[in-house]
Amino acid sequence: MNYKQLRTLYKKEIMDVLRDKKTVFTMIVLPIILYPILFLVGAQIMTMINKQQEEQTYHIAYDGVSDERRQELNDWIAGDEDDFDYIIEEVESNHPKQDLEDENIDAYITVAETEEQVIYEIHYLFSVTNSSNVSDMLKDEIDAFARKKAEENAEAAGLNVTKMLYPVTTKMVNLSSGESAVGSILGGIIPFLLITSILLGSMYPAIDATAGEKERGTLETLLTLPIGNMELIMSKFLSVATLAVVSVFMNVVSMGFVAGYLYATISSFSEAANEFHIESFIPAILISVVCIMAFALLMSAVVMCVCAFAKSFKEANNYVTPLTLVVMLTGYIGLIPNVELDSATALIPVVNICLLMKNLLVFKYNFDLILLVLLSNIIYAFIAIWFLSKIYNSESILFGESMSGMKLFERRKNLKKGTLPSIQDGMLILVVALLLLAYVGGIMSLKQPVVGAIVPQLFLGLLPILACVYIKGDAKKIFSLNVPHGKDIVGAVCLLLGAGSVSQLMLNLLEMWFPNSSQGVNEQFSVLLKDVPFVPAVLLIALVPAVCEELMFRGYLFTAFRQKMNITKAILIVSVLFGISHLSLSRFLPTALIGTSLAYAAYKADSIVVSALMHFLNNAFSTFILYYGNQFPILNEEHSGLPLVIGMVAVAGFFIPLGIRILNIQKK
Amino acid sequence: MIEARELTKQFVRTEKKGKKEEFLAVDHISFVAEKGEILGILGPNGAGKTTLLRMLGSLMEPTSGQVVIRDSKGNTITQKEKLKKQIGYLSENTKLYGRFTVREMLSLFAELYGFSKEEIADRIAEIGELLQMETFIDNRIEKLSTGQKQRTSIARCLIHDPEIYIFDEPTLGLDIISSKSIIDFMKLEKEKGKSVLYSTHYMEEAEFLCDRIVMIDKGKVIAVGTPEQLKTSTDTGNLRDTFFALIEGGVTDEL
Repeated sequence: MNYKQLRTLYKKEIMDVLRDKKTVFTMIVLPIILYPILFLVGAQIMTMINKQQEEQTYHIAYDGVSDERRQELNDWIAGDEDDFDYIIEEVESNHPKQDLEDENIDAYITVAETEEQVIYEIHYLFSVTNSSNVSDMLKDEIDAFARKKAEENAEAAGLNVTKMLYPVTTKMVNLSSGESAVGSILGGIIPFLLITSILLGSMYPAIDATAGEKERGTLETLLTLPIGNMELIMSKFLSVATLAVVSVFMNVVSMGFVAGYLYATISSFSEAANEFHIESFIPAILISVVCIMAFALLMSAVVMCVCAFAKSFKEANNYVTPLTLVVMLTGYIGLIPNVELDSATALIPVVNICLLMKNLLVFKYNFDLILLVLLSNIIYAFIAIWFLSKIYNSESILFGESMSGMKLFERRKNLKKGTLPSIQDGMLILVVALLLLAYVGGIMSLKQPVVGAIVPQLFLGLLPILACVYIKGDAKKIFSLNVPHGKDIVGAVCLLLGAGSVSQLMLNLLEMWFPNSSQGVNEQFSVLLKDVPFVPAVLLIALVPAVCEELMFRGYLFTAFRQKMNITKAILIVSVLFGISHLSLSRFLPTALIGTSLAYAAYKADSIVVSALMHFLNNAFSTFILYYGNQFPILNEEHSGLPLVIGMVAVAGFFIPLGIRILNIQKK
Repeated sequence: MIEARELTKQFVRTEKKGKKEEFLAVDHISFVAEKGEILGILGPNGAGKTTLLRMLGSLMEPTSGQVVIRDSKGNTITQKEKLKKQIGYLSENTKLYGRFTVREMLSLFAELYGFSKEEIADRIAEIGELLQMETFIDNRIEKLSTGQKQRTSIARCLIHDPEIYIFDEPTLGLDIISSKSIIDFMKLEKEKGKSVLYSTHYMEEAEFLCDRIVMIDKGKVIAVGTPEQLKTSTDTGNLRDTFFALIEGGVTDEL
């Protein structure tokens, strides 16, 4: 790394971005004016409304109520025995219902009387604010009036009032300090605001430094200079990260001023606020700042990766929008109760920062987790930068056309027969299928758990078929619909035995790090399959996924990735996607490993039938264990210890090479 | 002196029947541009001129082959960063940083070429005088006229006093006066003993400017020689007709 060049390039990037008015506005001006406006103007409006409500004179009428009762109630309302400051005045009304609807009065009262009880009926309009307000006030007043009456009656009858009327009562005792109470309220909202501000702060500089530079045509000029790829990327990354951090800083300072102002205002007239020590938040704020900076690095690198594919500002904006939505929605996690920071959530980007700040604000300092959050963010940032350096090495992205190239967005009549899917096509249908899986599956399983489990699975199979029809693809080729050779089936089964052992071994190991995670999955299945006999269960858990997931992963996606990369890469990427699609952190590696063996077998045998068979056997075996596992104690023992581990390793060591060898035998 | 040795660039296009189709945008091209020579690279659209010049300027990696430069002291250079220090590259795609002033941009570039602060100040003063940029040198580039921008581009190209200039269609879309400033500049540098590689669509311009011409089509060299030699060999009266005679039929409508 040439640091002198890096410094010059960094200077150039910062100067370039800072001379763009849009960036300066979102980064500096917006936070400075936004929070004061949000908080102070909001607070002003709230006080104004409160004041208005307090000073408001409400008009009520009585309908068919005797003078005595009216006088009694009016005196009570006007009296000082309660805490209410508002003014409620009686007005004459001959047609109270009409007057209420015309909003001449805010409410009217009628009385129904039985021998034991007087019932005051408050007539109001829920849709009219004043009417709705006064009805609440009247209810409180009359309830208090009723208590007073009851006490008088009890006393007149010579009874002990407390014992008679209030033998049981409640009292709330809040033991959390003022600070942690405030922290728990802020814990939901502050992470969200900060994450949004980092996103906005890094977005414009990132677009400007990548797509913007391409659009203005200066990238090629820059490439004529004797600078290395690493200097170029690091300078861009560091400048975007700097601006993101500055933006966070501006936001924090601005928020701090607002908070300070509010604190000063409250403490000037409230006793309670004096017990509140703003200093106690300092360690939380310091740790937050460090973690937020790490997160800013990650965000900058990710946004830059996304933008680097775009040729223009507009295109980059289109790419960033989905990312923004995902990040912001994830940022809401802090507002969801019962989602806690643990060793699993500490590894999920965005979520970990939100939960960490939420913890810090209520003074929960778990330094292991803080370190984990910090490290994971830094590691993700490094991965993103590495990816960015790959993008900036790719001439097709630097000089070539933009990344579109989706066959699915082309007009069907322009597509030739036998078109193969592009990577973008593959990713698009995978994402759509997973979204359908999540939403439709979620909704359906509420009503019909079993149907809810099958139907979404079908999307995974149906979408690739539809996509294949649309692009006029050759289904036989895209999905490798070939009759397998006998030896390939034998080889595939051997490979599955080996891969299955390794995968099970991994699950056992992961069980130690994420206790009960696989238990949870099994329980879910047990609940789901409570009333389902074994054979239909096998169809549900083994056959449907074996067909549908194979069509998607080893069929459509694998073909798509094979267009642009070598076999090893294609197999690995499809397997990683396969692992991710199972949406379980602890099961990711084992699933991806099984996926790798499936993809390898399908590729070698040139037949999806082989991988579908493997998939079926694998899932059928799990189902079998679920139903009959308790009849085989050896399978059910959780910690069968070293002998089992050695056994599994031996099985894997024998069957994986054997399977690979058989699959590699040349066909006659 | 700059030499192209069997330069080849392969691109992949996914077209017909979804098959990925490999094709050679530049197909084993070799030539040498000597010191004090203006070498014209001529060819129809899509012939591979830009790709060839990008490889020569080390903006793109060749799939195979090599770019070799011999500097003023006679040393052979093949390493990418060192090659770039010897080359001034200008194309219609090398735009300027509009948000900087001319002086700021030239200083940044000079810094990246490794000049010291004093050297930079001297160099900018010298170039400013040479290209008559004093009146606008402290203005933001986005506020400049086309002609002023063109002069700034030239200044950007020669800030590091390179031995070799690569100009990819430098006069495309420029008015006569702006074109002339570039043509004069190329002549001047040639007289100083620099090598100039230059691609263009303007045949008349190439005819009176180039010492030699490399004619390429579909990634391959189809003819090399002085304008006179090319005209004689094809028995044509001007370079325009020579061009049509040399390239295969069916491309006339592209011009």
